[in-house]
Amino acid sequence: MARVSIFLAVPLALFVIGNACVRAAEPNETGTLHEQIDHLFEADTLVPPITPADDAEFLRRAMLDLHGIIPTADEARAFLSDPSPTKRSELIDRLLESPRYARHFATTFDVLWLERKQEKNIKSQDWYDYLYHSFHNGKPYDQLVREILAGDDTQEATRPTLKFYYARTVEPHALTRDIGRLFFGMDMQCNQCHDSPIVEDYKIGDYYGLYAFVSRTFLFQDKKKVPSLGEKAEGEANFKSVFTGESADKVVPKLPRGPALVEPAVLKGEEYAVKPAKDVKPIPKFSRRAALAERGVDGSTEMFDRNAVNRLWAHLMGRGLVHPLELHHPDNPPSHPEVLDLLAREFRENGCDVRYMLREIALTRTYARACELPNPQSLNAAAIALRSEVGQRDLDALEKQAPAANDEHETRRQKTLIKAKRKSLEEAQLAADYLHAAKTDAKQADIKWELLVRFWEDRGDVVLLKPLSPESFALSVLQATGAVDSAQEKIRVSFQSKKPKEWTAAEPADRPRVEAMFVEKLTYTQFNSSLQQFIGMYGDAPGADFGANLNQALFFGNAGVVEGLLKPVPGNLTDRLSKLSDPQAVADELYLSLFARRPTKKDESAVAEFLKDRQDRAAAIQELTWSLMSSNEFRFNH
Amino acid sequence: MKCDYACGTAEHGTSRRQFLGGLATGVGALTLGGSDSWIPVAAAEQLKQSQKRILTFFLHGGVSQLESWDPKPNTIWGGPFRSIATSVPDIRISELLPFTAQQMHHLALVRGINTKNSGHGPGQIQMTTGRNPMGAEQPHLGAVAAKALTPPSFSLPGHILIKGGGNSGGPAAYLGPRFAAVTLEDGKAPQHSQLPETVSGEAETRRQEFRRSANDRFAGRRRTADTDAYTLSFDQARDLMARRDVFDASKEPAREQERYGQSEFGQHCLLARRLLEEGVPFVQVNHSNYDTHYENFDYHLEQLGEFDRPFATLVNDLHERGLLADTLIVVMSEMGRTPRINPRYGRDHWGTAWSVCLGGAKVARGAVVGKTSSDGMSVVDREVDHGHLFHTYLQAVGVDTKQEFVIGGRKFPIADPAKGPIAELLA
Repeated sequence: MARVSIFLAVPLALFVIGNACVRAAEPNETGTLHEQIDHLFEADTLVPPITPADDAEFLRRAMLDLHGIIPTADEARAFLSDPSPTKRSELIDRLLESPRYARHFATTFDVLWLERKQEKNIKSQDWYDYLYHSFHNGKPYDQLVREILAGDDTQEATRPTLKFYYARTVEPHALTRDIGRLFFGMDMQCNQCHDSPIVEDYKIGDYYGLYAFVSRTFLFQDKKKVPSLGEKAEGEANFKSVFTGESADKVVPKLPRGPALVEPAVLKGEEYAVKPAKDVKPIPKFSRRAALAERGVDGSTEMFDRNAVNRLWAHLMGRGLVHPLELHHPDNPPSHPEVLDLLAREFRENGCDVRYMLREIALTRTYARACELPNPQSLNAAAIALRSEVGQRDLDALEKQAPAANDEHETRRQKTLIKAKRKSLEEAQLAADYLHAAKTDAKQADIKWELLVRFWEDRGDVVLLKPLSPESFALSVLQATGAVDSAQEKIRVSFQSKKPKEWTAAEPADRPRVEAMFVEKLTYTQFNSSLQQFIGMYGDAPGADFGANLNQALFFGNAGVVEGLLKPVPGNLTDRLSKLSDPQAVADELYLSLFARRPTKKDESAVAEFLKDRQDRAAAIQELTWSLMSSNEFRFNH
Repeated sequence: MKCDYACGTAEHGTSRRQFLGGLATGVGALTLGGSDSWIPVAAAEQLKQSQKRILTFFLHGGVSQLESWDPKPNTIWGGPFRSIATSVPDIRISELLPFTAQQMHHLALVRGINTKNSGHGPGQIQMTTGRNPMGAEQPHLGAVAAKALTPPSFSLPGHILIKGGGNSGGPAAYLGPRFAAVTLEDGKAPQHSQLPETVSGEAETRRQEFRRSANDRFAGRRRTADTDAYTLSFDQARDLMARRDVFDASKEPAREQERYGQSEFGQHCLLARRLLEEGVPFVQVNHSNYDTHYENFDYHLEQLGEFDRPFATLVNDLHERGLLADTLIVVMSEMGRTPRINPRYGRDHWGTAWSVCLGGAKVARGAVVGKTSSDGMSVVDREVDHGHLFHTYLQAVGVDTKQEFVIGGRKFPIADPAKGPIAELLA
């Protein structure tokens, strides 16, 4: 099957109109992945060029995205003063190699896959450690998901993965829904009972195709009530739609948008390797669950790869190319179809390497745009007019195209592209509306501009402000106030004096790495209770819209948690700031500690004004720090 | 129908708020503006007028329908109490509720409830979420009400639980912590609503002022609905702290306190009135305990004796103060109690045929829906369950319960799509 985007069927050309240079998407096969992404992305948007993020903005953003914590003032200073032209890519590499990367991604995927569900059969720590080591060791993503779906309790190393099943009480419908959503980007909840009235593309048969893989799996308990996953060799997936009465019996397991499973013929009476009996866990000769684990992740269905890269993109950009993340279907096309195609293809070709994808996305110009909106004046009228014209022509051509007979994949693809093309025409229309209003009516122009900006925000065509996760918010507060540094230092000293056996056993060259892992882990563990407090207060459902509320504000202001961190302790932020007599130096240290940037002139004078005539300097400094930590600039990753 | 989030309109960016607006059909003013903080004063006043509210009483343990809303005196299991006439000619209720009887013209009864359950835990979930307990946690009625009814610039919590015993919380589930119950333990103000001792009032003013100016500077770089919401949350916290008195029923005139009586429940009812007057969309008052496996009659005499007068006073006050038209009142339990009287003069758990009392808002005044058999053992007319009731509560305050909440792109039906409201109960 041709994997080249149908967008390429559009005449490739270089248009030059006036001084506007508009290029249709053209693959740049020779460039690095990040260059190719930028190339496609920039050719597919009418957003005027946005200023690149400065070093401070880039550093804070990359740290929060890859480590889930802001940099210290010292880290910021070092990065800002580093003259190396390649310091950004070096930073990304460094961040991805650090134990903190594994920590942040273990946390991120723990929340994604368990959704903060409580479950007791597998210790949370074991599950978390499993994820941590998977990310730390660069386990390919397909292998990671294969292990989780396999739910194999015979291997000590992968036993913690059972938590995924247990957290759904091994209930086949809950599993079907969550596996569809989380691993294939298709939330087929409605399809348990009927074709979806909301998503035309999702059918009741799709649901039961996936359901058939897990419907024979059940929670087994041995004599001592020790749980594990059992599986039967019989039991069929049958359905009847409550709307249409459409029904099917013995639905064959079929991957979402993938092939049906061909099951080996098994002689009657010989279905089991271990036959079911009292207190005996049955083991079928052919396991549908194992088949799901194998075929689900091996590229048999493109949904696996598309879901994965879309989520990684969303992690860094604040929004998926397909959004909502769990509704991949033709009526909800990707904002940039070729970019998603490219990412999915590269992901598979590069061994489903998460680090590789993160690195390449983080190296794009797209990632490194400043958070400011573009200037309306710099909208390119010629490009907009051209988009309308060419876009309409393309759309007509696409719509006239004969539907691909008997090729579901191609039909779906055509539909997706038509829908995407309509969106891009809509963008051109909104932009043209703005330009028109700008000439005649300033108030209308503001409204039109607002609409255009919302459109761009919905597509991730401008930088999105990402609220810090509860964990990142907590860690960043701890980092900003100096609590992390001081804990880390104590742990390091103790480590070096004790020299634990992991360290002495390691090769000398490997010892710094062992030490770093050890120190990071103990530091993180030490802050567990603070983290839990923040999670309890700020932990929305994963993927939920940002919801600031007054309970959180009361907590931040009055609970004493932040107050406690602001008390002067040798070496912490309040202590450091109190020793500085020059208000400008205070502003410098404060802004670097909280925002990884140097204060502007306005910031400096505001700080100086605040400190003027204050005899109670330590108190004044705590007030200042609290104010800035409760500000938007701190709460969001921008 | 195609998916609406891909419908191609640029309003998509504001869908959250528009959704809210579209949802609360009776509360058109809620759709105002694109930003939470820009509601003109006049509109805010108007909003206060039409602000819909829900007040629930949860009688923990399971109040006996036979000693309250569906008495069957002189029948085999009717028990020793008589029934009395009420302010509605055709309705008689238990003599244990003489004051409530005089307010019956503001209220209505559902007497044909069958929740097919007889456990406290599941019953509480059923009655407060409108669903059967299964798998994922569902949001409490209070969370749903707060989500659907809280005006954008409201500075108090939208979902308040006045706890007077009883094992209950107010989970918001997928609606997020913003809508979880703020619990007033023993009628005290919410957690963290006072400055830490180390921060003086002046220091607080200074630091909030600096926070605002820092936000203004950042807004020059970028401003979004989320940054506005975050800024607003601190301002709301300030408002709440300044209005801590709202949570203090002792600030009511002595005369009012007397009217409600000195019992804990009485004071909690007075506090509920204060909160409703401030426009809080959802208040639940707990009263405990009705789990009368022993001495059912003595206990009900005592418990309902405490309940009756403050409850009736509150219903009447809401009416007299013009709030009843916008305030739904519900008296619920996790279930009813067995008609059969056990050897210990107790009644046991019973979800098969029992009652709920409701009133105010759009509820048809003086209506009675449903009927139980003369022995009280079964529903003989218009059987309904928690799912129907949940739709009814919300529709009574103008929420279109056929809608869905859209959270993080996922859709969650507001109420059980397989059920609908009790139409004849909605005026």
